[in-house]
Amino acid sequence: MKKRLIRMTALLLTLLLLLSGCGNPDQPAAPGETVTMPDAAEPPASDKLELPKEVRLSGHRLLDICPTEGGYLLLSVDIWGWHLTTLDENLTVGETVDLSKEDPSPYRILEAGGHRWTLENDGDMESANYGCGVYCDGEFMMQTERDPALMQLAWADDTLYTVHFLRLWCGKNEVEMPDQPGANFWVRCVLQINGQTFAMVTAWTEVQGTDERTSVGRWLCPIDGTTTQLSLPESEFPILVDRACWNDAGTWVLSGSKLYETDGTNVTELCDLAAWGLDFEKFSTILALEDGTFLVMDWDRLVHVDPSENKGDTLTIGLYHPDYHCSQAIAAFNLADTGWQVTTRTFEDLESMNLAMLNGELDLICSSDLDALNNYAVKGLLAPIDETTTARVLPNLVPLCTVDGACVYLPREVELVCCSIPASYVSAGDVADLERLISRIEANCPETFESNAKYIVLQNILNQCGSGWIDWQTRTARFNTDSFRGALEFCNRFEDDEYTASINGGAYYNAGKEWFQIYEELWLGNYYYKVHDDPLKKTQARTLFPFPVGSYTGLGLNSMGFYAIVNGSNTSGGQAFMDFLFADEEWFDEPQVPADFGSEFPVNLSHLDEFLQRRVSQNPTDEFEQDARELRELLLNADHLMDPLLGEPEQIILEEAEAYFNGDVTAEECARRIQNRIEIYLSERG
Amino acid sequence: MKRRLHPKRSHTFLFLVPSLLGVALFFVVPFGMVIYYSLVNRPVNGEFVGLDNFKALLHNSAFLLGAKNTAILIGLSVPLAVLLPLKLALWLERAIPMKSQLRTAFLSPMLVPIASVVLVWQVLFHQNGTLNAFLETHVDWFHSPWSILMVLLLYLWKNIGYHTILFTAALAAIPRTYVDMANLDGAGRTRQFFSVKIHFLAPTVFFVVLMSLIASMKIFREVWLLTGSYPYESLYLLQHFMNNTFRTMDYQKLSAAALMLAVVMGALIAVLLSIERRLDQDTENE
Repeated sequence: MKKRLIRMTALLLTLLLLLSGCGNPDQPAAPGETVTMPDAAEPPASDKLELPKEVRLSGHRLLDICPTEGGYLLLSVDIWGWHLTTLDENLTVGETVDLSKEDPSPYRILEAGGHRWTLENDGDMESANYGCGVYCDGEFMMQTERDPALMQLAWADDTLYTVHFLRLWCGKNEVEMPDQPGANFWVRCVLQINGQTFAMVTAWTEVQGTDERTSVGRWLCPIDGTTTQLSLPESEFPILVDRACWNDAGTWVLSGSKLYETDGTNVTELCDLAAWGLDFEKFSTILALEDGTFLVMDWDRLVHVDPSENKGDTLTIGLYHPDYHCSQAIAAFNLADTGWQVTTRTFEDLESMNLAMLNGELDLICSSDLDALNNYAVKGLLAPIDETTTARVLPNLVPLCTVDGACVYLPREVELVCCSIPASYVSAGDVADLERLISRIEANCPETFESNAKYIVLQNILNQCGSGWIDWQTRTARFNTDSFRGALEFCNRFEDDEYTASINGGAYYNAGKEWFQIYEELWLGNYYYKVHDDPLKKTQARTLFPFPVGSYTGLGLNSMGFYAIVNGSNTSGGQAFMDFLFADEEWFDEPQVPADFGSEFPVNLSHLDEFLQRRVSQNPTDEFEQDARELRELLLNADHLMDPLLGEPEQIILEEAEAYFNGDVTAEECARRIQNRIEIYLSERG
Repeated sequence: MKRRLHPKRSHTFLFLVPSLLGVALFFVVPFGMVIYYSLVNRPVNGEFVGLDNFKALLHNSAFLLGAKNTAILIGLSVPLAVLLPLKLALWLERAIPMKSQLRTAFLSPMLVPIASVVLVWQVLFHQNGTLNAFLETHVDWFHSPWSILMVLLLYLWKNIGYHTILFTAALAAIPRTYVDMANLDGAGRTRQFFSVKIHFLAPTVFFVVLMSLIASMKIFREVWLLTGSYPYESLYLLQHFMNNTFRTMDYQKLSAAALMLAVVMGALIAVLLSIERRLDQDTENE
């Protein structure tokens, strides 16, 4: 009996010991771990500042805000110049001072340490001092870097910190970046946590010859007024910080559109600022107020943010290489009275987004990766877009965005893309056949082959019409054909490297030569010069055409990102977002500067017509109106999307083409290998 | 009369519960999910389709290609990974100079990081690489039907050393009495090996065969580093298929392929176990 009792006691103690190791809430989190802290004690509602929800200055782009005695100073710019506006403590707009246009133009302002500091764009393009300077009470203090809009000023430890993304100054001392071969270091911001000042530093490596960047790490590096070199701590910070603010109550950081509280090791998400209609690609400043609320400023608005505010039903949009207007679209949707708010989740790799999709964490997607979107569509993970929405867009675009009989993604804007050649160099039918086109190029503009690089040409061909060699329905490839071999041989005639090609191209351009262009973006600002002779510039009218692989007769449409609704519990909310995005009512603001013509066209038909009408009204000539009509026709007759092979297929083709371009294999062998590998890729999806 | 569990057995079971829970959580439940995914038609809100995924897989050319190449690789690598180390171990058994240095040299490939090995292999077998320079040829080995031999060579180079050490230890454990008796009876080396030593080496041979089987599946890592997710057809292995279907969320294909592989491997190991059991009995009877 006694032995039995001892055994049972030992067993119970063992089980208790095992269970006690699970989930001790008092244990400190491992470095870098995101911990949800218990809700901080909220100040009573009566202690919260009664401030207006937002402040706008009509026609102004907001640059910076800083506290001053009795309120705030707000720096802004419009078409007339720079302005400094005072706001009182209740954010009531006071006096606006017009800063002289002849003086250097300030982008940042800070009042601290008894002084007023500004970051001003000074000098001129010709001056050796062109760049940016820090001024103290109007007196020049030190020269910094260009891109003042990307720079920040911060005050801590009785020291002014100046941050440019590649450089950091503590007072007047420039701080040396860590030395790691192959790594590029960026300084994101300066922040103070519990009295210690830090610089938020990230490091990237780049794949040579591409735009691909891989994040190597992110750290909070301790600094003070005497720091001359940054030293990286052992542990990394869990998130990438863009902006920060602090007061005696704590420190808060911005990452993407999300606001976090941090103690230097862990972070706690407070809210998604996109829910307040803030454009997270255009944040400029954040200030922490004493009552636990914040003032957050983007280019258009100064918003009073209370993280505890309930923003209603929420949709989550997954961003993976998204459209760069996405943040603006989300901000505008959140401001509109739709009953929904959109918060964002940014993914750095496809696998993470796949997992989020499977777990039902996303309601919408914005991505430029067509391969990923098509894969989701085939698996039934995307919901069809309502016909009332698709009826408003370019009718030729809908079939291009249709998978298994349903339109499942749409871009908000498109570019019109084609090849071009001086019209006098070709006759009818030449541009529809690759062999004939090559013979025309050889006869009339052989400098074409010296003015571009092989890989660039091949990549452009694949981007424009790679789908011409793949039948996605039957999952068959046609790379082992004369058409593709001809395209390879065509590419092989060009220069080996980009640098030589650019030097040659510059020389030929200066000599007044014109040649075949593999890639042209058409918009109203340049279309006239493409289709008409220009005696002033001595250029000829050009013929515009798709690269002749035989499948396409229309030009190509390029988009920076597609929007899709995820099939799930919030499909109605997703549809509301798409309705808003493609609504006939205009919400997309025109560029501030009238001469700033972009190359994108809205896909909404009524927007497109209004857009073209607006441009024509700014330049009301018969030719311009005719150009607008022709561009509209070209848009409506475009019959393929660009970048259909983005990802693995393009990688396979470029890898194999390398051996051919190096002379190691023939075009036939190269095409055979590509056919072989792409067939495997397609049959996996069968 | 109700049969009651013996108190000792109930205590034993209670002590086993935490381990059983862990095994269930990390093995049984995931295995169950694999079976589930293999029987539905899509990863989210899937409908039960029975064995359709398995039938589709048997008609999928990528899967068949991967299975064929994996079978070839296993068929070539496992026997060689047993016979060559055994031969080396028999050679090391004799009185040869620098025996311990040789043993260290055989084990050293295991210490080399995989990325370094892959880099060296790329330099060796590239179209403009060392082998072509030596042979005065211009063959792209990784794009030829011989590419599987490059992988085989890598596999053998990596694993021979360890297997040799295992066989050396097994040979040293054979009772000298039997070898001496065979010597006295006038048996030569070959006769001694087949009549005496092989019976005592049977467990080690079985173990080395099992290890080689597992290692031949893991060679995918080197192949992936050498050639990427979509290599030339002679290097496309079953695990390429599984890797790629995971990335594209084709979990039903992936699960069906994994189950088929598990069944085949299970059958193979069952055959090996029965052979090993029979050999063991023979040894005991002696």
